[in-house]
Amino acid sequence: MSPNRILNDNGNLESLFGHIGELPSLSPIILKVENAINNQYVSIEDISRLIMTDQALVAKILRVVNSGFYGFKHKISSVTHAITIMGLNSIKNIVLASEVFGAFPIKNSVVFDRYLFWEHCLSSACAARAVAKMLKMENIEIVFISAILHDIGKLMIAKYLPVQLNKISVFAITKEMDIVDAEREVCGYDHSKIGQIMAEKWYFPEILSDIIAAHHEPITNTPYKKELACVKLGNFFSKVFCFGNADKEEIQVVEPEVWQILDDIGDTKNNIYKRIFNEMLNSSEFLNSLIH
Amino acid sequence: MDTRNLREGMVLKKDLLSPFGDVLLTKGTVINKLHIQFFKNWGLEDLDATFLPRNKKDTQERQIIISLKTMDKKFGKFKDDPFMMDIKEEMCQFMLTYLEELNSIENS
Repeated sequence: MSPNRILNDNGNLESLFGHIGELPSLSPIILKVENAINNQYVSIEDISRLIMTDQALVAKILRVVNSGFYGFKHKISSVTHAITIMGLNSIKNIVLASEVFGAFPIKNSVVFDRYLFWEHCLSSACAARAVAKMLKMENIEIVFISAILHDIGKLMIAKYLPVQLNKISVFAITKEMDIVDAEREVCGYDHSKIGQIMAEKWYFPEILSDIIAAHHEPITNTPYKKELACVKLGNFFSKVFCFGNADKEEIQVVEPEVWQILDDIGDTKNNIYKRIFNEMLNSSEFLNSLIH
Repeated sequence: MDTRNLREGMVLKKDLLSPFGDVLLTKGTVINKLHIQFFKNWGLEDLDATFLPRNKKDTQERQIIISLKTMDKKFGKFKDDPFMMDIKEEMCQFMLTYLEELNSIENS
């Protein structure tokens, strides 16, 4: 079966995840925050009041915004303060990221290391964001969050299909297959398709589920070319610079169209790589503030 | 200084002395797993030593060296793809240049 046929196949994943009573759900607060942000009559106070109904979430947001990742000089002590200086979209993304982290309490195993998994996701996200920033793109935060969540399908496999995950790892080694091909062979779907289905189930914005679905596909198939290119580059640089579980996986091919967006930045390549690399080094601060 | 706060990669700012004044580790030593195990086993929990946190330059260097070492393996399957091999070459060049730059900061 060609990859495209699988992606066009809109059948549900019941056959694969049928034995699970219920797939993980995200807290309804995300949808509420999302709706409130999109409503022009809602004020910042309303939104912070909404977030404050969930004290655990407040604690998480404050921990993240006070982490070294953002590097604010003064301690941020309230949600309103955090929203004022970081913007609503950043806060929304922190809410989303911390809820997704929380939705998958997953144990480490020989074939899955939770910390390394998130390290890969976050370093990709930091690299993708650095590229988007240098390109002066408008939706930098959406690039950041889609890169954080691009491999969410892998979490689903690790949590709910441990037997298949072992098989995938064995196939990848013994048959010298790409992880993605091994996933298709063992599960019938790869992690980008599974991720897309989860994203739709969780009512993520369309651009997010599109990018998750397409992060191993040619860039021509999506209306969000630039955003997808950033995420692909993030994924690539994370692996090149050995962040997360990168050493176990080979690098995915980078198409010339993706690579060319680096030329639009208008700086020397060495400066660009340096900036991307150093942004990725910062990602561990973000990660530690999310998981502890 | 509580040696329970020791982490791998920290650098000793001055000599670490035993309670009897013997030099256990000289300044500049990079703490590794064995050191930590040693302190634990011998109950040396309250030695007079000051540690530098793992500094940024070391982290940068270490990460780049690991990346360089694994480039061949990571790009193995692209042997016949000239475009990807160009990218690989460019990344390796960057890493070498950056390593040199980091070293020159130290020496200046």
